[in-house]
Amino acid sequence: MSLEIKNFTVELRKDNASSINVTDDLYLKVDEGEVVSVVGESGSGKSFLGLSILRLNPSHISNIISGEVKIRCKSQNEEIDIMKLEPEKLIGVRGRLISMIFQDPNTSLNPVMKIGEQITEAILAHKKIPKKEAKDIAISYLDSMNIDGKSRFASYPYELSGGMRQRVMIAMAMVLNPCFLIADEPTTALDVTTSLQVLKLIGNIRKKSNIGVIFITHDLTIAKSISDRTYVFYAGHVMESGNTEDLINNPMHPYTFSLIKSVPSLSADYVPKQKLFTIPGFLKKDDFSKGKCRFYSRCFKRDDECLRDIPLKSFTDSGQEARYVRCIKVNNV
Amino acid sequence: MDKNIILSVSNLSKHYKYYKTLFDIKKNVVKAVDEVSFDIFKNEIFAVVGETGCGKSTLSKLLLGLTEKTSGEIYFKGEILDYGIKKKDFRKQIQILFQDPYSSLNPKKKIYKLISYQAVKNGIIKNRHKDRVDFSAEQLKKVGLPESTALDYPHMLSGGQRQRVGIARCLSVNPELLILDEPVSALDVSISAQILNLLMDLQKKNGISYIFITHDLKLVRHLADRVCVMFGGKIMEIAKTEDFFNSPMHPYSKTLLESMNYMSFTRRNL
Repeated sequence: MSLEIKNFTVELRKDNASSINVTDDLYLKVDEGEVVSVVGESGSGKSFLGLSILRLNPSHISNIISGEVKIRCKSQNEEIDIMKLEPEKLIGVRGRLISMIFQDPNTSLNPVMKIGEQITEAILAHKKIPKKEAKDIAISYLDSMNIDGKSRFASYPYELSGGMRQRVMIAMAMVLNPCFLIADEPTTALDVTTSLQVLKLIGNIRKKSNIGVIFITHDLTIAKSISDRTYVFYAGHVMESGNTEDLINNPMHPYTFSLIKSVPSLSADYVPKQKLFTIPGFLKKDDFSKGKCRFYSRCFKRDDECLRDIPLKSFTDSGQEARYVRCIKVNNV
Repeated sequence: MDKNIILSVSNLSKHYKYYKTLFDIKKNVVKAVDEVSFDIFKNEIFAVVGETGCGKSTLSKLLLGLTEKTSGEIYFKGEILDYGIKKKDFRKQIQILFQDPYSSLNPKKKIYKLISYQAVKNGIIKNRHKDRVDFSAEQLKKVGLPESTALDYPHMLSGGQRQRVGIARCLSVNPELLILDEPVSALDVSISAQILNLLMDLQKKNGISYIFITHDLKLVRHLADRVCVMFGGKIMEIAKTEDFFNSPMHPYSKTLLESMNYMSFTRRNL
């Protein structure tokens, strides 16, 4: 069971003349029971990547230029390439093989429909079973999310708190037993204590049903708490990828290094009130252009050498998982 | 009264009444802020921590006079805080920086109008185009933005730049107390570090007190002198930052710290 994305390039166009590649030549792999996080700042194209994997990207402004998304699943005998499927067959993939949780639970639930009905609707759209049976499944899934299914089945979204709504969303995503879950910033709109609940829940699901999770986030600390491997994303390029622990303890790319440095820490030896390390400037549209390192304009290690296309180099230590870095200034581990 | 105390709140409460159904006779009461007392000293960063619905936003509204208190007193520099008295200029002295830089700037107005509005109202500058632009340019320079930004519209700026405009707007009337309502939670990590550094610089330079409302304990540890933990409208714990992080006393503070620890670089996987 695995999800493999290869040479994935998605173009976003403003009008006929100008276009940028929001995802460029991406390679990403998720195995069974593995949580992989994609970390990047807003505008880096990480949410668009999540949508494009399921071909949910708005077709009037974006094209998938090249690439394959190969998925091998326990319920399916053969490998499927999502990019080559006919549009009608995509329904069998979305929700059933790959599910998705969106960032804002307040807007992703239908406000005029009871939450139980929304979940049963998802089941009935994919399976031909009696409505009564679907209702039982929905209740059992709500229960497994620590929500009292029987009494909450007939609640409307406005009657629930933000954390509960997000848990309903997770129940809805899990109800068809998918092989993979794409979680697009599921904790951003939540409090510290509730987001911990949601993270623990996703961790439990991963252990229990052994699914692969692509966890999209902008917060490296959350990535660290939940994921096995991390891809650091900037302006459509993977800047660095590898085992989460290694990547955070020993960041190699200047961008990863800066990201970790600019967060105040809670460790005992940390001295408060000193100046935080900053990354100057912000992510601009120009950063997506070709022929230079995409982090060039904000990097502290930049020089003229960086003004060309930078390949993703492999730094594999013996006995460790593969580590990739897209920087020519990095020479050894 | 101690001269170093800039704001003193005693037994402040705000109760909201509501009816459960249309024909409900009984009034139900939500105690959004309940018997809260604390002092804020000059030059101090006072952090208010708590989850959604714990009353921290209501507290900031009460301090700004945006909602009426049910009971209790607020003293600003030894005087009763009453926004009705025009002479006292309390509005000028207590300012707020909002959480979301995307919705807190009027999209129809140019930046110079947004920044100089209060200064014009308070008679600091005359209501002339050139004066207003010059004044704004000066304020923008203080927060690290180019002077030409004064003639831009908010949509032309990025999130971090907008938050800087928000800061410039607050500081344009030289307040003594600034309420920061989650100033960086809508921003990226790389940008939020810039804004935090700026806020710290400005505090040192101008000697303002901050009330820093947040739910991110990492930032509290980094910035604050004292921490106040709120839960359900009540204050659970007030402590010096160091003491709070070394030995939290209240069970709820311990829960908060525990969940925060999961989301830091020091702790292992879930």
